Amino acid sequence: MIHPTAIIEKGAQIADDAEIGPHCHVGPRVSIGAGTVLLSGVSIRGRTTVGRKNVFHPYCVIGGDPQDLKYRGEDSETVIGDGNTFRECVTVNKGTDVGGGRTAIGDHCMIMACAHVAHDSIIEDSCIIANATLLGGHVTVEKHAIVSGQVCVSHFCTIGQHAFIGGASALNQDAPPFMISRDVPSKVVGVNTVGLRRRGFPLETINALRECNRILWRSGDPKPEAMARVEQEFGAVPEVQVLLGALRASDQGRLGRAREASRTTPVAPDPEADLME
Amino acid sequence: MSIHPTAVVSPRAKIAPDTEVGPFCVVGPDVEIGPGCVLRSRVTLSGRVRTGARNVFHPTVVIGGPPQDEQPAAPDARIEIGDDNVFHESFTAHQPKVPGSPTRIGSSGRFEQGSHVPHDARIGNGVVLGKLVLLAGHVVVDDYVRLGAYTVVHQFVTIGRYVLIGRHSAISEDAPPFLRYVGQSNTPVGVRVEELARQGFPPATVAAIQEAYRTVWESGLPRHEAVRGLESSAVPEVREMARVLRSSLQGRMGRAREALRRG
Repeated sequence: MIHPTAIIEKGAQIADDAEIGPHCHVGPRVSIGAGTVLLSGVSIRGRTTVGRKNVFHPYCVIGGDPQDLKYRGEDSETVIGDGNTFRECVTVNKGTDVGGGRTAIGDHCMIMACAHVAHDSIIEDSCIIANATLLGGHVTVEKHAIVSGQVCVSHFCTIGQHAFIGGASALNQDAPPFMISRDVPSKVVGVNTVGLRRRGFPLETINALRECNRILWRSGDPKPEAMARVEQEFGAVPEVQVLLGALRASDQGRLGRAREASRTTPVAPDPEADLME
Repeated sequence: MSIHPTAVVSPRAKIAPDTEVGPFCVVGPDVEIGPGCVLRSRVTLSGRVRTGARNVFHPTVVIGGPPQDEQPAAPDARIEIGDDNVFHESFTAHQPKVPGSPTRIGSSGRFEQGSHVPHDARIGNGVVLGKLVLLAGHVVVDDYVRLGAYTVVHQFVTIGRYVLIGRHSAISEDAPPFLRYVGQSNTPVGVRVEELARQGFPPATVAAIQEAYRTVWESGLPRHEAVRGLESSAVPEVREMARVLRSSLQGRMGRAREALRRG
């Protein structure tokens, strides 16, 4: 069902039962899966693949150009899975060559009004990103993470699986999995017990993670010793291994951000350098 | 009535004769727009929405979407808007999920770019929401409240009348009336003395409010005790502060409306 005022460019592939509402604009290299709904005034551009049963609320712009000075018009893409909801005025930018050329969103995510998913970001399944939250470029949000409203996430940060980020926080380092992080800049303040219980994690796992929180962030012990103690005492718990793996990866990246390790950007030439010599 | 030829307006929508509907607007069948309203361009009104007179809707305002929640909108969900409000670009307001009461916006408010009125919120008269102000569900914002840009309000919070919350703040406990907040500490930084004087509160009343503020936040008294003192005040405004403080003490996590939480 395509509203007569919608503009569907030649080449766009739209499943038979997708609904395209009034004043929507679908570009020539966009494919839209079965059961997906574009309510009104939605704009989907670029090389963008949208899966099944997604809902786009009015004035979303998906697959727009990256807000990045490195972007030179390359043919990068945006991939969106199934069953996601994009609320009013959400923007998702496509990737850049330098960042891998791909912005990807998994399945069953809710991206709330006015949030921004920047170039080369990856959002895994069942995440919630609340209003006006800003994910800088190259950000990863792992499965089941919840990012509250008005959060600013610096580029190359990773938000671990089942993490919860409190409202109005600013992340400039990775947020560890299973933990609640909040504040400006963000700090770990506890275990996401509510989220873990809702998703059926056994009490023993939650208690082990609580102990890990105590050892890693409350004891005041130096990080390497604390991590060794966690490994020794709770290493048998798979979730603890996930936590330790994430912390090691953050340490291996620069600035406490695992994805900094994959950063290939050459040092930016200083445009004023020759004026100085 | 002027409806731009590119606007998509349901024939069942009730639109007052002197209302303007600009280009690329979408107006659903259960929408009722009062006299003198202006929908500038690309405004979407959907679901059951009723607006009063002389409201101005700037481009990309969306009113009437379902709640941003796992639960759906109530079967009788509706949004009611008073008169003389200005809604700036990308403002959003959502349907309630609790049956029987609408998401309500009063009159003479200003709602700046990207600000958000969520499901089950009640907004009073003369309220200003700054740029990208984010209210979470079930919030009550009383008359003449001003929220600075980028402020976040936790779900179920009640904000008393004339409260001002400075830009980039976050608030997660009920805010008693007449106070000024800045930052993320849930602690007021003073009384809105000048504003209350401008609004015609007598100097004696303002002084009593200041005294109450000092009793609760600067005397070091336990909160229960301080509030008990306020409750017996002869000044109605001080008793109003005491009421909000008392119900917030009785609620969970400093929020009286937490009692409404289901499940």
